[in-house]
Amino acid sequence: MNEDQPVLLKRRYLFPKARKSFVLFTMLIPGLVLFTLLSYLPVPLGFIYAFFDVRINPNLFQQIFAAKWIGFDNFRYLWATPDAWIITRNTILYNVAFIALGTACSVAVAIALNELRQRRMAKVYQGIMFLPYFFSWVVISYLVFAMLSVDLGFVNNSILSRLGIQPVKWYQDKVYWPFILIFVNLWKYLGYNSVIYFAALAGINPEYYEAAKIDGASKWKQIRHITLPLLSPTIIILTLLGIGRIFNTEFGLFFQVPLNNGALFSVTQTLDTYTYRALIQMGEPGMAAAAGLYQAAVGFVVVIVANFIIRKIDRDKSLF
Amino acid sequence: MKKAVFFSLIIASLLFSIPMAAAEGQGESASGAPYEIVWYFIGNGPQKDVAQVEAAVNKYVQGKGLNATVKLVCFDWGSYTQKMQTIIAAGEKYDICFTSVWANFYRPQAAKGAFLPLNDLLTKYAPKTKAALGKDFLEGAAIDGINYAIPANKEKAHNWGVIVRKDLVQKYKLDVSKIKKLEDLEPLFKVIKKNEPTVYPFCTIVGEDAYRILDWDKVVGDNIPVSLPSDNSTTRIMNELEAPQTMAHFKLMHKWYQAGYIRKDAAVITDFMAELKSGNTFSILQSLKPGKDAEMENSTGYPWIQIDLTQPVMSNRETTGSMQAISVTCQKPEMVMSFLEAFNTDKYLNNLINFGIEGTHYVKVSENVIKKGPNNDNYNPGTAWMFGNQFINYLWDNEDPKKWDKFLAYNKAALPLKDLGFAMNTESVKTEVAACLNVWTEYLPQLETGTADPVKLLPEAIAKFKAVGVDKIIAEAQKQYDAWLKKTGK
Repeated sequence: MNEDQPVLLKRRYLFPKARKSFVLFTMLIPGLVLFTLLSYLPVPLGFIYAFFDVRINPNLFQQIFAAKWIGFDNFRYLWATPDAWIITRNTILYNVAFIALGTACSVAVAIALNELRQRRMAKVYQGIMFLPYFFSWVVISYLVFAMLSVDLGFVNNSILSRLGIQPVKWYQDKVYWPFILIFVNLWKYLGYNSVIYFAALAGINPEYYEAAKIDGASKWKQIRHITLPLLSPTIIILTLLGIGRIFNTEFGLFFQVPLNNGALFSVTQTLDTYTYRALIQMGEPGMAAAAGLYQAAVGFVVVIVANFIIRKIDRDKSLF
Repeated sequence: MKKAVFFSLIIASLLFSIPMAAAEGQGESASGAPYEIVWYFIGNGPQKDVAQVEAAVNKYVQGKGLNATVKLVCFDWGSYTQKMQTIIAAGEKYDICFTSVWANFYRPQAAKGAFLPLNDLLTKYAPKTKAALGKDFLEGAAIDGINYAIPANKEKAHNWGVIVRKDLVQKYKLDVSKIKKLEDLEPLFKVIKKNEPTVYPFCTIVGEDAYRILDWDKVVGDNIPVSLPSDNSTTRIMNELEAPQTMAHFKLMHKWYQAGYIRKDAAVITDFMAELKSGNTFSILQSLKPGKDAEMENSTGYPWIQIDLTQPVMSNRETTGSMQAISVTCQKPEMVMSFLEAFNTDKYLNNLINFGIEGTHYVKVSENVIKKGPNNDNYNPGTAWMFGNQFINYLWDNEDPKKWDKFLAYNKAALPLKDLGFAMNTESVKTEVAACLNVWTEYLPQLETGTADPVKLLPEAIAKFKAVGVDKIIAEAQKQYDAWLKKTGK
């Protein structure tokens, strides 16, 4: 699209273009329908549940109209603990670590795979790294438990004992857990995320590299001056999407993997696990909706701010 | 252009991650066509032969003049509560569901209007069920005089005690006759620990802990330390963690943990059935009733001896421990109530749903005694104790033929607690309750399993509970309880 075309002309071309790519647009429909049903439709309902006292009624409309306004009552429990600060800190810091480390590692892996001469082996490595992505967190929690169990675990029994080190009570000592959680998360998502970057790398015109080689640029210089700059829009978009979920955490990672263990709460408690532990026994959809709304609202603000900053620096690379 | 590529990439990845939701078609039944009674309950999970049983049930009830079909939906122990919360919150059409203090929580669901009030329906369409349950028990299950669910007619009390492995007791010629409290088990543990290196002498894990022996009569919920003692000695509600016997119990557990009687990672183990079925557990604290040992043998595959340690009491735990509620989304409550009446009084129908089809899932040994049939595994929901009326249930061949008579004697001997029928409304303290539930999960599993030293951790836990407002809950509970005592004249 030519940037200096007047806006009016652009508009006029939009319609014929849409007609031309009619088939492509129809492909969007199933996704759009699902997205509307599952992501947009619940939004007003979420608002109602969070701010009103809703009683169960088979008739949805009666249910909504009979609801009583209760303001921020459903939100209060989110801050009603001396741990509110720890919970918020854990939620944000883990996400920052996941975004930073996750991005760095995935990009590195994608570049390494891209540089491999043997395409077949690259595919094999990619497959192996992708595999953990398909494991559910429950399965992963048992894998971790098999590794770290006090008396039967692989690490204590087969590694530490041979090195003459005393067995470590992994599930009672919280100092290890920030590292364990970050490692497990990285291990699960590395393959998946690197595929996205790998796809972006495949789109880079090989002529750039040929020209660089003629100029005598080393491999490292090619990566620094060609690969990374061309990859940066993808990195920025994925990071922005990650930032948008900065108040959400992977529930399975923080609940299943530490086996819901109280001794580790100060390093494993996040907004999601706190909400779950409170509400699984209370069964208050209103309070659950309040937590969801809070997370979404903070995520929304953070994304807007991050996008605004990126826009200031480089207009082309911002998301919107 | 490049941006468009990235965007479509992102959108594609988003679309793949959208979970598919299948909408369940709900066909309106035309007049004359049988009404489908949908029944959700907790048990051993979906049963393979459920369609066969349903067909037999349909044939039978239609023969009795009830124009209905029955759909039995069994969710497993772990997921039932969560699934029902979703089903109820979504306002889905169903007719009957299992509800209790410990799964698909009765009071909050009733307070939200999920269940129909049943008092009039009971009188009109289920008089026999009403008479069998008795006035006291039904009143105990009511909330402000309204029954939102029908309790099962079974043991109406509980007491605590341990079950120990019979085979190991016999092997080492241990004497169990003198065991009157938990401490008395220690000499037995010593023998087991020495001779059976793969067996854990005592099992106390998350959710199935020995702390329950103190038998606190919980006012708000299982995981909130706001309680009355179970002996009617006082009407003063208190924080159970501050009681001296609580500290003493945790000290004992810690001693046992250090002695190696309790498994090292008990604080992260939650599946007690797996512990018992593995054969590596010598003893565990359980809620007892006559014939518990035989019931446990049937579900675990090992023989047990039950040792009673506390007196039987009738509390809100029993009155609301196992009930069937009728949903507000039910379209024919009268018919559903008639069905439940038949289920509670008709021996054939009751045993059909509990044990399956004769000759296939069970075989009769005598009039009231059965043993496993060739296809028992295909229909064994494990629900006999929670449905309707246990006094008309068949007995398994290893059970005491006098079990139901013993139940009646046990019910008679039990001490009814003063707060029977008192249900606290937690609406005004829900913020504090939410925070307390988190504190409970943070500290109690470590204390209950003996993993942590209570001298250090218990004061820390008490302080944290105070910080999140447990005293406010106690004050509110006391206020409501005093008002209730005054109103009921107890």
